Amino acid sequence: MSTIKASTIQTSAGGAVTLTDLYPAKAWINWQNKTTNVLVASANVSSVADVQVGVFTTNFSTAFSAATYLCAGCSNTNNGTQVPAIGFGTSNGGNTYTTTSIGNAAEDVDAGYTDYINNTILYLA
Amino acid sequence: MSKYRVIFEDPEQPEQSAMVLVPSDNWLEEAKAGLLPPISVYWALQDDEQQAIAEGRHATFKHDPDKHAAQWKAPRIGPLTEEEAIEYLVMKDIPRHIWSQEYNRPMFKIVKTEEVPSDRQFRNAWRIAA
Repeated sequence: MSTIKASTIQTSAGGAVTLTDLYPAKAWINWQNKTTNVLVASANVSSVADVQVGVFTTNFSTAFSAATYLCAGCSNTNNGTQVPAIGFGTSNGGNTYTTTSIGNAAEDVDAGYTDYINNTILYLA
Repeated sequence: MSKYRVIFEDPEQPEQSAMVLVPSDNWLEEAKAGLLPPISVYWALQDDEQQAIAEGRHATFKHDPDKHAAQWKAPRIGPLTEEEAIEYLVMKDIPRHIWSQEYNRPMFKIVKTEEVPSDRQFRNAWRIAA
């Protein structure tokens, strides 16, 4: 068995590599907007904008090649209850869906748009 | 964690509350290490995509491969201070009409993190203070 040790892996042209039969997330966030805004952790994200209660926009460090990616995630309340209610393409400021940014909204079925202690979202292409 | 936040409003959506831009720590480290491309790389991508949206072909739109690859192939701009990185971030992540035009009041402000309210009372009514 061989071991590859490298700091950066790129294509011969200097771009992002294609991983055959592997489909890793292109970006992800762990975003808190229950009290103050905290981007707890992220990858390939330059910033997150708190738009209003329960609505936020993720801005990517490296843009997608096309706006055909998907997002999937869940929100987490203070008591640990999982509320699988992340959506996108919503109204009220969360209506962005481009290669450089996406609007997300966390919604409680009873209370509408809601601020959660953790919103964890994957972006896959 | 960054010392700064950017508060901004969208003059095209006057009913929308003020928004708070939170920088990514990872991205800030890249900016300080000099790993960012010129901002024009992102503007070129945004312009092409906005044109596709305006022409009703966004659903099948795909970036020009060379312009897309410029994100990692273009010469890097060198290390930025945190303040310079936040200015770069404003130009990258906040819609251009908000910061590139003059209005009768400021539409964005770079503030210290502690200046953002620590609770979210009346969150949907936040405005930039005069």
